[in-house]
Amino acid sequence: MSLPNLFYKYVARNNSTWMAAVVVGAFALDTTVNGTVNVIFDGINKDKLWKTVYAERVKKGISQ
Amino acid sequence: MQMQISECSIKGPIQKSCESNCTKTWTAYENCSGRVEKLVDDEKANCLGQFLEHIQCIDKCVAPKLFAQLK
Amino acid sequence: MFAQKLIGNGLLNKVAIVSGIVGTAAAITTSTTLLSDDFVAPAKYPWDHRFPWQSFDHASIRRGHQVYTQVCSTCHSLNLVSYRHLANVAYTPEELKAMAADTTVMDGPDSEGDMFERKGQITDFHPKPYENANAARFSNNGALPPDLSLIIKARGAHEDYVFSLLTGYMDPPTGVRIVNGQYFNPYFPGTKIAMAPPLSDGMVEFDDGTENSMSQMSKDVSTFLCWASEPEHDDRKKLGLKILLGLGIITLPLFYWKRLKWSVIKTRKISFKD
Repeated sequence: MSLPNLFYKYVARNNSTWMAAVVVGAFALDTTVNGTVNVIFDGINKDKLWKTVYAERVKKGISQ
Repeated sequence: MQMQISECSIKGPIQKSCESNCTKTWTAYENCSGRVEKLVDDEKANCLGQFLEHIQCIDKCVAPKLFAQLK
Repeated sequence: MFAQKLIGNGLLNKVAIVSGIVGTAAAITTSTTLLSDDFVAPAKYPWDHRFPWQSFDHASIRRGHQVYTQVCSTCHSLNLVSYRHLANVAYTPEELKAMAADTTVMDGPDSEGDMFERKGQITDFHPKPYENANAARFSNNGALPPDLSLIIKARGAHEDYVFSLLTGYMDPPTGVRIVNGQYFNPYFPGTKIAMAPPLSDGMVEFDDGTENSMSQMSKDVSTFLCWASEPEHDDRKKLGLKILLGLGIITLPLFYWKRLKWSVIKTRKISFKD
């Protein structure tokens, strides 16, 4: 059985499973999107963020 | 071109090097200066417009070069 | 052929006229028209935070705050920024506590109704250079140094303007007369500004070893003021990316859901009987 058919059979067909999927999906989406963007954004701006700047300062011995 | 535009240590020299891009606006300014200096009695005659246009022209060249030299 | 027909009907002309009117109206209502160009529009500088996926350069914010406290703060207030706002942005909380402890704050009234002085705390705002606007005007030849908390948002070209202004002092052109207490600056509307050139090379000593040229200090203080105007900047940009990605992913299940709900309607057959 193809993926959409399986999805229909086990998830979309019954309202109970469908609503459960919506709730679980919302949490999963939130976590993935947050995590992905945080990693990407922090990666792009690595040298400019305070945590990097601060770590660099501690390494140089000019910040506690 | 003799005019010292800015006394900034980093911006100044870059502005100088950019002056060759803006000879047209500079000529216009110098021509105006020549005219205005003859009008000794006229207190309102000035070359502000020509000067601002010259600065605008130089700025376009300065902006990327200046930030490349700053942290 | 079709186009000729259109021109023949004058439809294309109408379209051109209507779009012309709409375009002009849009330009008038949404753009800034500078009716008197008595200043130079600042160039667009390639800031570290100019694109939607770029954060502020926090080392620059820290240096900019040093420039503000050592130079600008003698005349300009920063009413909306407190020390705690800078925690984990440009300083550690300990550094900020020490910094605030160096200031004296007028507090009160106490239980007897008197005002009293106390040591500054991390929750205090930056001290004001003048008691009120009149005192500020009186000390500055009648010119009021504006509060810098939102100055980047309050000026047309934002950080480009502040940076250009700070590095823009120069000799006036032929015929422009500058009276005492005024300075020529082509970026200031009217080109005559009451603020004396505030920065010069080597004025502020940066503790991270950055070269303290006038251009560098101007860039850093512009970045700092930009942060002060928009402290939520980094989170805002991050949230924007999250929304784009989130909505992008949600499209797929929504597409499936639409097909699912419409499948009944799309596949039905209606038969009519006599």
